[in-house]
Amino acid sequence: MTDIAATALSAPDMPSPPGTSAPAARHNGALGFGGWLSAIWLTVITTSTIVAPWLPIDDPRITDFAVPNNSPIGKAGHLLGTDQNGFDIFSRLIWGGRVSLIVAVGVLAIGMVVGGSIGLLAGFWRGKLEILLMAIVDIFLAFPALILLIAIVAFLGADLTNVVVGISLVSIPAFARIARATTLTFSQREFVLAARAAGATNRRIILKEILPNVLLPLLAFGLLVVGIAIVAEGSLAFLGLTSQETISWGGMINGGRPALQRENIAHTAMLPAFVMFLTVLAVNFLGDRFRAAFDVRDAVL
Amino acid sequence: MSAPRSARRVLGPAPEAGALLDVEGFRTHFETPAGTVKAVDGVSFTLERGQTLGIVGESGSGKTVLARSIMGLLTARNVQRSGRVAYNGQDLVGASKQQQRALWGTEMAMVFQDPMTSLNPVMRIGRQITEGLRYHLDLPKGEAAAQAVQLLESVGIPDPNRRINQYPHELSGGMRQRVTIAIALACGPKLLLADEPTTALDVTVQAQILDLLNEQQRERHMAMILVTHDLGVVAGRTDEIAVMYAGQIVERAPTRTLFSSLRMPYTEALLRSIPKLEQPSHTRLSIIGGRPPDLINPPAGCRFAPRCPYAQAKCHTEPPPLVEADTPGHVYRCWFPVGSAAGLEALERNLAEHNPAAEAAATGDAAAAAAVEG
Amino acid sequence: MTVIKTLLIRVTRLAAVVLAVSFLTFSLTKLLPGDPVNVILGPQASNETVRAAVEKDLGLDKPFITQYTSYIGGAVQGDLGRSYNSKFETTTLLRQKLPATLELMLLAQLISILISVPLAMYSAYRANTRTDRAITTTAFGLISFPNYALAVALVWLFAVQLRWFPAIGYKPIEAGLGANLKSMALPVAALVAGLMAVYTRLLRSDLIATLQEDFVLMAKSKGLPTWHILLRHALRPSSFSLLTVFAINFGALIGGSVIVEQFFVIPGVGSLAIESILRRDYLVVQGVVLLIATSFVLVNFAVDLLYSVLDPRVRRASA
Repeated sequence: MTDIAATALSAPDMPSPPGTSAPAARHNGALGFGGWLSAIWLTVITTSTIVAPWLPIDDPRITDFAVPNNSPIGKAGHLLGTDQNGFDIFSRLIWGGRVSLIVAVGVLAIGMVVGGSIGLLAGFWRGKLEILLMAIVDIFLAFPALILLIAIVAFLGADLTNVVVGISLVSIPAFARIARATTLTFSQREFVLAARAAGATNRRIILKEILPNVLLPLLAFGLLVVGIAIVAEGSLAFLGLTSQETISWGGMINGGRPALQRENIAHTAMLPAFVMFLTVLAVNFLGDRFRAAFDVRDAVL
Repeated sequence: MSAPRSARRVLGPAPEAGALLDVEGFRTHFETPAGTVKAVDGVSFTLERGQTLGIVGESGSGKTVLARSIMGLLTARNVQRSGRVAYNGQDLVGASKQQQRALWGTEMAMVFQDPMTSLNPVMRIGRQITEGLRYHLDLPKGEAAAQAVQLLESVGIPDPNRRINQYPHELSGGMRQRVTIAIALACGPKLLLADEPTTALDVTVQAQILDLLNEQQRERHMAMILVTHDLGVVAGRTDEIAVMYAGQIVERAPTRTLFSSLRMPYTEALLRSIPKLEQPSHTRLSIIGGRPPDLINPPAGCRFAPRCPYAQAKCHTEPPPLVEADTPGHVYRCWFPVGSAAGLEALERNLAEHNPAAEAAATGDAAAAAAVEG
Repeated sequence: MTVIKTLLIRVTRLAAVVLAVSFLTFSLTKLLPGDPVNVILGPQASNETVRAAVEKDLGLDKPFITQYTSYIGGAVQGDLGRSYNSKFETTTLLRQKLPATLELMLLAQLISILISVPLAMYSAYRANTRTDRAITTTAFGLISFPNYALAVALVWLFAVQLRWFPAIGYKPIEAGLGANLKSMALPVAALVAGLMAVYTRLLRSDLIATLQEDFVLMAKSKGLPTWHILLRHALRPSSFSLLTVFAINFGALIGGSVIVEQFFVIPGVGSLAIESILRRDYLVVQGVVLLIATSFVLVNFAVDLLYSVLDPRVRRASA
């Protein structure tokens, strides 16, 4: 799943206009309007979820018996209404963002560190290590990622740690692949050859010459994985496989479904769906700009 | 789509009056974020039926853009054409896309620089020849294939019956260029634009391809524009030569006249960069120092002045007009032309002042020429 | 000679991948906590005698490697074991569940390609115009739309508001083609949105690159009409990444449509996988994974062959 989306999303948006050698200077490192919107949206989501306990919002786990369940937007002091349990939707959206944030940060960190190291070492030393890595990547590609993820969570238990570990595990091969490809291109560059000729140790070359160059393209790819990870956590919550205690956007969509299908009450399911869409869109958009800046596509293919 | 096709057939046997191609004050500019690139900036010439015009210049002089733009192949939205290009009396600059396309292949055709990239790698050679025939002339499949074989034979490809079923990668570079020539000739164009047709080829094959072009041109009574960076290529093969620099024609003359009494210092520099057989084999070639100017903000005066061994203060401020030499049909763009008293005096003055461009020209020293860049 | 040799090498590698996947699945089901015997026996699970009897019956008392080799031995002969839970043959279960998944997948793939190819061609031809921007932006948005969120939106709009299609449920073809297609409309649409967006983006960017090629300019200079150049010259050399991803999806969608199947209550392979995972019905889980891995590998093999049909240069390189 990861790989398919990766290929599609990392396709460059703008070719340089035919007939001129001048590159399209349209973005030129700048974020652009959409980029700023995305950055602002993500900042708002991130800060509000972090400071959620201190915000003047309702407790997301307390039913308001004063109003009927599923009450509409703006009713009785509930900014976005209440859900099927009489919980305040606005508050749950903010608390639900916590899960997405934890998943995003966790998967990004584990994927970068573990996958990045594997790929870097494989790309630097080539040989048997590289063959082994590529074999593992092949196997993982043939493995149905979502089913593997469901199995891991089902067997290990549905708490948030296992969800993060499970999603990380599924995305490590992709990180490794990108890191390897980027390392391969850089280890042939003049500055690395020069360092080698100057008698630098392998350790020094990896840490000082290659790592700084691999890091940014890897992070750019990581943003893509972040989007996928947020969706994946939502999938698990949507299927009811994660802990019912955890407040998650996916779980909120799932909880709102019966009312949507039977009573034509849309906001309980649609609001979290929309917030999730905006967040994933913002992450993907920034990732796209970021990848265009570092031209990750070359490394991927 | 069928309308312009039939219209072309009516136009086909047009009256043999006037020049085949009449280009007047022709400009092609590209709008880019950095500014307007004036790739072709006021070019005029005429080309008679069956005649050959050589367009010579360094890379970046605008010669390829000129060829493509005359034909109308540049259709990106940032391209602006102005001035006049008349083909057989028909205006091409104001013509619609459909009108222009109706001429492509049947009236004018192009041979591109690199036969490695100009043939479709996943299409059989036969198909690449016949698709034009079938579309323009409505030939049935079998007839088109037979004609493709004939065309391949006429451009000197052995065993054409086998070749039409092959893919481009199965042919050598020279053979591929022969194929692209066959494709260009397929629908009997009256004007062939050859854009550096031998640059990408092996030296031993270059002469063969040029001979082939000349031979086909004579047989078909076809006019040709031969674009090249190498004055040596056009020397014996063209009726007239136009030297381009920074988007302008800086000198134009009948081939014999140009070589015997060139006026423009740039032409002189180009000529000096051709290796000559009579020179001892290790003679250093004179390279023109510096680079062609920025086409967004070209120099205010003569565009060649920054690199010119003859350049005087006037050259840097006043753009020289295109003036006629005493030899007929010979025009050039220079204040201190080569071979004139004024020119000689200018060169001597520059030498006395140790002008690097002048010294490089005088000694033919590449190292000195490189210093001009600084 | 050499063709056969490269083919043999490729087949061996593919078989190795399938084997590795099955071994990994097999190990995982043993390593991870959760015992099928507990699920089968329920409250009786603490009774050691009964437990041992059940384990012996299922062959779970034998050493790991013996279990695995006998499983693979059976699998080669088309025997994937019996479900611990329902006592059905795994192959029977797969055969029951596969048609719905296949229909869902084939319809989604077909419709996605039919939409995305012309869209990408138009978008690439009109690159950087307003229409192109609208198409690429929409595609980008659709890729960022989680399919369960999309499913919810689709159900609300087309089933609850407009009442055009049933909200959930699956009608097999035996119930009539019209009813069948009606029940498939929303699930297929939920899959199509994402697939189509991915395909459009991929093909568009490759087409734009191809349209810059000299041979396209050459074709243009022959005076051929635009549609001819796009269709005959540009499309084929631009279709390789699209083809790869399209093919991978045939394998990936068998498991990847889990969410859509669960949401719309379609009795397919994805739903089967989830049910058997939750019930610790390992043999069925293994069967599903093996099916997906095998189809993935087979499809990849087919794509390799197709490459050589599409690109004569590959043909020579592999020969």
